[in-house]
Amino acid sequence: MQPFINHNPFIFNKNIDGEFLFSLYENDFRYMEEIFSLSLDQVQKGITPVGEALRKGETNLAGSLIHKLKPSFGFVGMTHAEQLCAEFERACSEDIIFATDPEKIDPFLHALREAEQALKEELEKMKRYNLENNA
Amino acid sequence: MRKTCIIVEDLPVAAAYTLNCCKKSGLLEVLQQFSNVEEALPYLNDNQVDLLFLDVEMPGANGFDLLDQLSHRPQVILTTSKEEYAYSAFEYHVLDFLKKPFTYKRFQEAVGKLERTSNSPSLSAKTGLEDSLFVKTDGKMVRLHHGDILYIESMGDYVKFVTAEKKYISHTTLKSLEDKVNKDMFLKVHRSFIINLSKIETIRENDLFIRGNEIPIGKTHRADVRKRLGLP
Repeated sequence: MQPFINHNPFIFNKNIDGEFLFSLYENDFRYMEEIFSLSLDQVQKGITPVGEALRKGETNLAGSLIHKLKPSFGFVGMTHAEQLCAEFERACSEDIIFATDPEKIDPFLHALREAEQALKEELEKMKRYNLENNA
Repeated sequence: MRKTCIIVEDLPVAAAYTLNCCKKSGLLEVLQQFSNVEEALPYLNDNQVDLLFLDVEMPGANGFDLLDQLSHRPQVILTTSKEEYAYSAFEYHVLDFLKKPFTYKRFQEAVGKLERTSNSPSLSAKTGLEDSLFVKTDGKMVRLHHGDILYIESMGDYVKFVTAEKKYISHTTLKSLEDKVNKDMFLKVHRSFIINLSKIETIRENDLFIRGNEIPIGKTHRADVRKRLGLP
């Protein structure tokens, strides 16, 4: 059997670990589109409550919310955003001063919003790719 | 014949991913999916399933609360994104611990354990001694339950079995014990140590602690230790 050669490869955004995604989904872009859509939905709903909880100093709640947001980034290969979530989740239980510091919260939320935007763009790109390749 | 399973997971993307892995494997029939313990518990108490994919942190009661309330337990694979739960996973004697997001290959390894445990029921039924071993010490044969053994240490031509109450010295080798101990409960972490996974209190890069005893993790065993504990 001839090895599959993808003459129209999908080039992932630099914020996405394409190799890791291959280990999860291989080249099933139709399935990946479903996962990206579910993750984007979770991310879009999840960032605002996280910000509200952190700004109110409700670190237990914030930690729980971040715990749920974290794998949504993981499943789409956004390992940097996932790692930021892991650090803040840990801070919510182990370093309250860090977790309630506005100078830490603002950049964290900004990074999550950037990741959300990148995920949204990536999903649109994937939908077009799947249409063009009849996946 | 496919095994039956249910998925208890509140994160839609994780539930979808686990469902797809189950279908892809061809080994599992997903009977139901639940997003919280309150809905899953009555179903599990009223229905027989072979395997439960269980998230830990969910709204309301958590996954461990569910396990505490089950009248009869299926085999359990815990799925969570927090590696700290790996230790509790072994306390609850779950089949495996999958750290989200897990690869399909990792999923296959976990489900493979289900096949192995269900292929060896006859041994359990026959002897009733599958949870213990006999050691010759001080001129007599002593029965030690696996669950009581903290770790086993090689001392030249002898081996020391350490329990919470006592230490037993026996003239045998660590090599000969590797096949006798329950491989789901015990792991060789060093050329001189086999440990009971459920007794680990803390773990570092090069060693771990059981009841205040520092036990080295051999270089050649580190990858295996991390894999068994679901650590990155």
